[in-house]
Amino acid sequence: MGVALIVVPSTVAVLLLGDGLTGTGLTVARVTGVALLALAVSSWMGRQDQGRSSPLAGMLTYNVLAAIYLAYLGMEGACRRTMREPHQGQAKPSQRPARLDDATFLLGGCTMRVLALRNSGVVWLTLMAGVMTPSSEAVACGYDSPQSVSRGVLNWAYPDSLHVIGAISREVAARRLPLANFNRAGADLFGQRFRATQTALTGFAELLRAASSEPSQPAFSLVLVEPVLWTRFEPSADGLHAKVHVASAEPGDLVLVTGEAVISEIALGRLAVGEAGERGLIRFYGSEKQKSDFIGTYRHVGGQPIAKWGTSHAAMPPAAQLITDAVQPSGGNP
Amino acid sequence: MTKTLLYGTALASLMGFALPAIAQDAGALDKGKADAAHQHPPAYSPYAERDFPTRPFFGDTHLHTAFSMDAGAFGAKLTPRDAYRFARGEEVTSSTGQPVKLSRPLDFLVVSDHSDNMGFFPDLFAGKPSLLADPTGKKWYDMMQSGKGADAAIEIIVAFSHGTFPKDLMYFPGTTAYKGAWQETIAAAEEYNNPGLFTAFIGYEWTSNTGGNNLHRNVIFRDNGDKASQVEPFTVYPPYGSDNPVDLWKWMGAYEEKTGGDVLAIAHNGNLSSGLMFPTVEQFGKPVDREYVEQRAKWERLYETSQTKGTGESHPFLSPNDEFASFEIWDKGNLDGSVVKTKEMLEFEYARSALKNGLKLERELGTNPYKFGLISSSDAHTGLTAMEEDNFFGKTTPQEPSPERIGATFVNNAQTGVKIMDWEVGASGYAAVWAKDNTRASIWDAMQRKETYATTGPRMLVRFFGGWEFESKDAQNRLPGQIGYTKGVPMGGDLRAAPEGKKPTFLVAALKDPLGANLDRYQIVKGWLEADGKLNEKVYDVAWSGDRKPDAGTGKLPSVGDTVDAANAGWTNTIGSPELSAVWEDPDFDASQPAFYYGRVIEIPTPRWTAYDVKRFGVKALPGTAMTITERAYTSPIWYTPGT
Repeated sequence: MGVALIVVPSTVAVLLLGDGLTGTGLTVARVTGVALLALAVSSWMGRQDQGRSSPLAGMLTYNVLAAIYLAYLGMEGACRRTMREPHQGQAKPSQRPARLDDATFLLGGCTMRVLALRNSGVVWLTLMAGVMTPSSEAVACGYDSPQSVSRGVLNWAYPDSLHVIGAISREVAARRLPLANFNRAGADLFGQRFRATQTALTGFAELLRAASSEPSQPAFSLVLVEPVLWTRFEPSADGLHAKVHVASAEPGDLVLVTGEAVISEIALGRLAVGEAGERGLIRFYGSEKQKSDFIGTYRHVGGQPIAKWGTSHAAMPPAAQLITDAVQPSGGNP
Repeated sequence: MTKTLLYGTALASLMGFALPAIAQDAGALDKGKADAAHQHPPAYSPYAERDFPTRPFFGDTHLHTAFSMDAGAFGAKLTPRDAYRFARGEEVTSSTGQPVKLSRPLDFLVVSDHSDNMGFFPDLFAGKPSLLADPTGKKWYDMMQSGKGADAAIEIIVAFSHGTFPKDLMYFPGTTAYKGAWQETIAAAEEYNNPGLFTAFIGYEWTSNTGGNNLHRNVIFRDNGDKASQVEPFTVYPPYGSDNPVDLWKWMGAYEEKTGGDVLAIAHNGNLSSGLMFPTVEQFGKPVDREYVEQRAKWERLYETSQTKGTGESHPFLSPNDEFASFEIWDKGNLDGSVVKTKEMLEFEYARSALKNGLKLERELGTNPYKFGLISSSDAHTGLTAMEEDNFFGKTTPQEPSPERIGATFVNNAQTGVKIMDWEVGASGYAAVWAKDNTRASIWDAMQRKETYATTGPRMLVRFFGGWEFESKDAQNRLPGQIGYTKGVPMGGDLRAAPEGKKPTFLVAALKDPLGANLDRYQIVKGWLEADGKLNEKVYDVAWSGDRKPDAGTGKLPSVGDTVDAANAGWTNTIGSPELSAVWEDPDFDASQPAFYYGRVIEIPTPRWTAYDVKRFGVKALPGTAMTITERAYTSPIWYTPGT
């Protein structure tokens, strides 16, 4: 019951009371679920080991889970305060004091929401969540909120960059591209999807390093359109490394616009960068020289698996397995 | 009572064929015209010399393009010109790079971009010289050119919010930039308006949204650019505009007075208005008085009963005995989810209850403010009026076809818990207008007299006539238009002063969409006002497919069945009927009670757009996702007013 109240509070209410929950009712139900869970932990521990302090464990469980949940609410509340159809933004400025977090939510990318959090006075919640949950970064950057104006702005700032969505859709419909992990239904409470994408991006950087004999390659930026997640690939002593979740591109950067499934396929060695570009799955924005240099250097990246990963799942390290799992959901596309 | 005709009948034959001019548009046959007709023997061709609407024109009165601030911010790149091209049947490339084309052209389109900040986004990103002449405009443009587009956009919104937006860059009435955007909108309509073939109306959407409560209106000009260009659209921002509909009506009156032109407003589906769309006691702090009801009746002749953000004909809470009331309902909150819906709000948001309350207000104040006709339109913010289930391009650019949209979120207000998913967005709908010609004047006039009906997407042909003399044999006639206009009034019309001992009779006829599904049934929805002020409603099945018999106890007609194969997004026309016609007499008529009657035509179940997405993308739908739909059409009512 405790788990059910946490995961599907409204459904439980419908089953028990005949009507769903909204607003603070959801919060109260979830906290109640946490309390029931803590009670269960306490009882279970008491049964397992008479010598342990089961009430203490129960209270600790309640405090930790409730704190995580409330921190999540704090972050989400700050991020979503202005999750409204933009009509309202036009109609209400005289009625509601303008706030920077309004603008950051409407138009910013993932990291813009840090500003929103700071301005709404919930930094402590953010910090607490950052310490306590691995998923805080994922929650803060759009994995919980795909419909964002930040994506729409891409279409103007990088003309027709959203055409990658059409290209991806066509490839998925033709079963030539798997679904992005972003598309998978259900809550992503622990940020698994974000970590899978992060792993794909770092894997992509690894492929880039392997493809270039010259370590001092120019930096470039990449944005994944589904969550509008920016990553900058920056040079270091041994080549490019991915700095995942940055504010936006640096001035003068070559910018790549693509999608989650595309970068995952490249990281898995199943799709070459050049082919992705030709199929419209990656769009490039920069000078002609930047584009030709990039394609010339990395055209074949992703065309084959990294040798050390091998071809069987069993041979893959956890990171590669994470990507594979993400892009091959059971029952999904090939 | 029921008449189901044979399959395979030529579809075009039923609705428009008629004898020579023995009727007029509005269906009121006066003695002079009748005499004239009889003095002039009919021509051999039954289709010659007709003087009434013989076909409905299909279109969309509510479509946004990149000129709307929100549509642009969501990534829409298509312009009004693109929108007109698409509506008239051309293939275009969507804002997400997907080729798209309608199954067949539409007949008319109103590009109704939001009046506030109209045209700002495309101008800025295009580097319009007038914007670059301003230092701030130049800075934003340069930021975008150097890869800082998102940062520039943030600055823009912050400047708007804090009132620090450079005056020379403002897109409000009276500014050069705003005038330019309006002139560009007009120029696009003028360029694509092709009388007789395709009508491109000039229009805009007035976007009152105070508190997240949607009171939008689409304003449509009968006139050409020479008159429309003499004004600039009314906005919401003070001091240039107002969020009160009463002020919009004043603006409309001023326009007509200044130009000698004509303009009408269509209220947005009221389901997101927090019970404010159809007030009965007060609105904006003032009582609903005689002036209010008169002005509303004058300017708002039509109502948008269905669109992408839900259908607002009826609600199961308000009409518990209507088994078809629960259709594409959005009843969780207002537009931004900031106000949770309560049951008390519903009566003042839905068309049927408004039609009923209008009868009561007429008794109290002398005018029925809610004597409106019905249409549907899209409210798409993509520049694409693509409202077919198998060709649905979403409400906004992020909702254009993709594997993602089936599980994405449309509105999620954490404070209130109001959450609406993308799958709940409906592929609806179109406006059907019975006009004589495909021109601005003819279609607008038909809207003004409410000779319209709403469809949730399919282009079924629907006739609805009311009179005192229709007989059963009239339903056998293959020329219902001729019979209907001769003996009665069409949808949107009035019946007055019941002849002694007579009950109103209705001639109904419907043809399936040639590309669509068969029809299940034709219903008439009646609402009436009793002497003690009590309002009532009842739904009558008047024509249906097959040999089904209403249940003896409940009077309910058995279900038509369901052939939908959701997994493969398919269905068969092995149930239902391609056409339905009947004559129905109101068995419960009381000549002393004001009443309205409208038709509702229901298709057999078909796959919803969600089923096509699941099939085409191989995605998994969220639990609870609706995969089938019973498309429908709603006619404008015919009102009965006693003693007049």
